[in-house]
Amino acid sequence: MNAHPTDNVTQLLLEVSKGDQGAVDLLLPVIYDELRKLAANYLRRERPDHTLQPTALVHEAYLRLVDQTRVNWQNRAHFFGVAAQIMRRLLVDHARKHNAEKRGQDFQKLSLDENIDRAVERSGELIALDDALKALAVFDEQKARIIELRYFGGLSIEETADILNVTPTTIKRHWRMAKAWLYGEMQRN
Amino acid sequence: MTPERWRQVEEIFQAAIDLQPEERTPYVCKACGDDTKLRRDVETLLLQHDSAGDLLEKPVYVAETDLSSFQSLPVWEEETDPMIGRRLGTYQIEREIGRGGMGAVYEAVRADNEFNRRVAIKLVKRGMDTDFILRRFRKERQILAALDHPHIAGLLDGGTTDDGLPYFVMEFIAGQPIYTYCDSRKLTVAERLKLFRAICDAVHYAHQKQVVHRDIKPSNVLVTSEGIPKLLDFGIQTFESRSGRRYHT
Repeated sequence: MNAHPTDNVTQLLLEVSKGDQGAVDLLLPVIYDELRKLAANYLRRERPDHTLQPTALVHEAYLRLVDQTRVNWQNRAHFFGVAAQIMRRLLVDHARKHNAEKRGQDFQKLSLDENIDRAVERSGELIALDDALKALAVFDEQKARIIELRYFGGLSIEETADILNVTPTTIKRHWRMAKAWLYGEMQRN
Repeated sequence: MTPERWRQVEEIFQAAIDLQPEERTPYVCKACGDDTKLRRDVETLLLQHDSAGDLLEKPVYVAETDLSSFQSLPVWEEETDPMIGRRLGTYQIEREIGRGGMGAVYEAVRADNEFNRRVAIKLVKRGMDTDFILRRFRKERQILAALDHPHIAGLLDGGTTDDGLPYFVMEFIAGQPIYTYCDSRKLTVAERLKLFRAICDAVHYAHQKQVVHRDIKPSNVLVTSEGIPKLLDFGIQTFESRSGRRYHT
């Protein structure tokens, strides 16, 4: 086939936006693979503070996989929404694996002070966030979704509002309460 | 934390945050009344709101040591739902079509395959079978049983699984959300209104039966390929597709 590399993903994305659930199944592994490769490349580079911007990776994946001339803002939001989920999974799986290897270490109470740079504690934050999000999702799935979309996917408030079919004000309200609850939950564990 | 309690906390929290700091405590006291636990929950949350700082605003820390999880990954694995492939009565569950806080909705087919009839089965999630949720679930089933209308997705059957989880079986609607249906076919205003009127009729019918939907929105109205609109989801919890397996469009 002479298909351009971005044709497949772009087409699937357009189909997702038309309500085709089957297209999501096909889209997932492609985005997953791209994010995985981008993350690996990014991590090989020198990063004095060991941090990564998941939103930057998602954005990069989007530029590489999607033909922007064919999609609208809604398609774009769908991509980022799916990618956010994948990004979360990739990073959390990695953190859990890394921390499992450090078995026997004493996990100190989590601090959210930027000066702390011990590998295990910092990886532990991501795991704690993931656990807290799962707990939140049990009684408020909407808030957990919003956090995921914005934190891992980099969606703006407006984009998040569009994709969830609510107003930006609603998103802001959800966000501020979710953030408060997550902070407490992460401190407790 | 139950969804109901959370909603109570939210109502007061959101209102309190919008007040001046000195107005918050009196407001919270008044709003909570005798419920000291509620007041504690709200006050704790308000404190946490003020302390949260730049949580969620910093970039993610990723340990550099081991890149193997980023290099050699198996294909994206879906969390296998034990319900997929299971038999429930005369139906065989094929795939998940939605998920909410209380449980999930699956697409299923008649196991005898003679009629190849597709249904949607709504099932309480294991671990969510508290009295509170079971009562809500049974109530939803009662509501659905009382509704019989051409534009409301109808209840067909119900039961309990071997492990005691209640479920009910509904008409499966293969269709598009109403806005997609209308836009993709470039329907005229008159044609759109015709669909709208049909749903109004359904809502009116439900109201006459003392049932309020409470979550009518375009994604809860599917239109079949024959052009018949159907109102879904009278559950108080909405069932949206969960991203990862099925993305909510």
